[in-house]
Amino acid sequence: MKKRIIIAVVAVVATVAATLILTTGRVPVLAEGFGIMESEVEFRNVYPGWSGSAPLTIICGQDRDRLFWVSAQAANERKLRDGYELFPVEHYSWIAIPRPQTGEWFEVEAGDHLRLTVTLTMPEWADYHGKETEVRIRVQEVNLEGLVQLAVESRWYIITAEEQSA
Amino acid sequence: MTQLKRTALSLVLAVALVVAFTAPALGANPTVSITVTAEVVAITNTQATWGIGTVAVDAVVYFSATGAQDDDYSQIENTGSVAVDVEIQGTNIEGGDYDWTLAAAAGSETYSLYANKQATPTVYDVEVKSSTYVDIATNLAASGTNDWSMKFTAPTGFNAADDGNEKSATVTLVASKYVA
Repeated sequence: MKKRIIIAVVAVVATVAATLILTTGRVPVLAEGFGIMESEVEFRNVYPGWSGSAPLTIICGQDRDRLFWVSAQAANERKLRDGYELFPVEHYSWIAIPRPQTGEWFEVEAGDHLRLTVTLTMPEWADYHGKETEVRIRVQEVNLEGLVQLAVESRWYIITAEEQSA
Repeated sequence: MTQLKRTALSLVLAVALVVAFTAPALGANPTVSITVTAEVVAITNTQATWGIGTVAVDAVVYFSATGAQDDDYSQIENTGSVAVDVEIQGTNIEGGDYDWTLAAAAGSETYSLYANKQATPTVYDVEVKSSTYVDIATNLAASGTNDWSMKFTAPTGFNAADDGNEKSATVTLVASKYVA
């Protein structure tokens, strides 16, 4: 009985901790380089006329300020989630990535982070039912001088609802 | 790093947090769910620049401080909290009067670029392409590293009018969560 109570308490604490992390916006610190905080995002049962958003948190390492470019990119076909297909390029307009307030790129200071909200909207007219697709949201450092450029990607899975019968 | 690990551990607790959105009251519309997996995807790479210098026809130059073969010249580190795949893509070399196309084998106005993998460091068999990404490291664990380099082969011929012109290209390393 005591053991069960302890397990239950641990579960509650874990749940609260997890919730706090996402709601209080605690972001890890990177000593060098950069990264993102959302490795995968799955939208399930998307239907025509629906719109929803997911966060994209860019973390800039403490070593220096950086410029970033954010875009939707095709996944490598060999790397798709099992059974999934590429999200069609012609539907990339469904994905709205915020633009920087000034300039072409997002600027993030050393040791800081930037929270963006990326929105998926399936148009009312879209005839795209019962699909399991993958697309990548890429964050690339804009390095104007280097040969080797670095980028990280969030794997987005977009699963559309089956067609509704009338 | 310790703070990252601590935070990463906490983030594991948040994995697969499901935020359910109730669809607008449209009757037949289904409920849409958005699942965000909170794991940090991050990498670093130690060497970013490569001044190849003046090259002759058919020249072979390695990504290193001297141009000689140095199999572990650069190092990718997974600084995130989750295992990643790292892929590589190149571009044509642009500038001057003629661009050089990236291809599997050097040719006229065409160059090739191959990378090595840590598992077989002396074998440069990762063909860097401009059309797609190819693996340079797979399932690279958090805090794991991967040494790498590249082998450049200059065109077998190029127009003399292009002599002395400066050209440039980029190579992009992309990391994403490893999924078995």
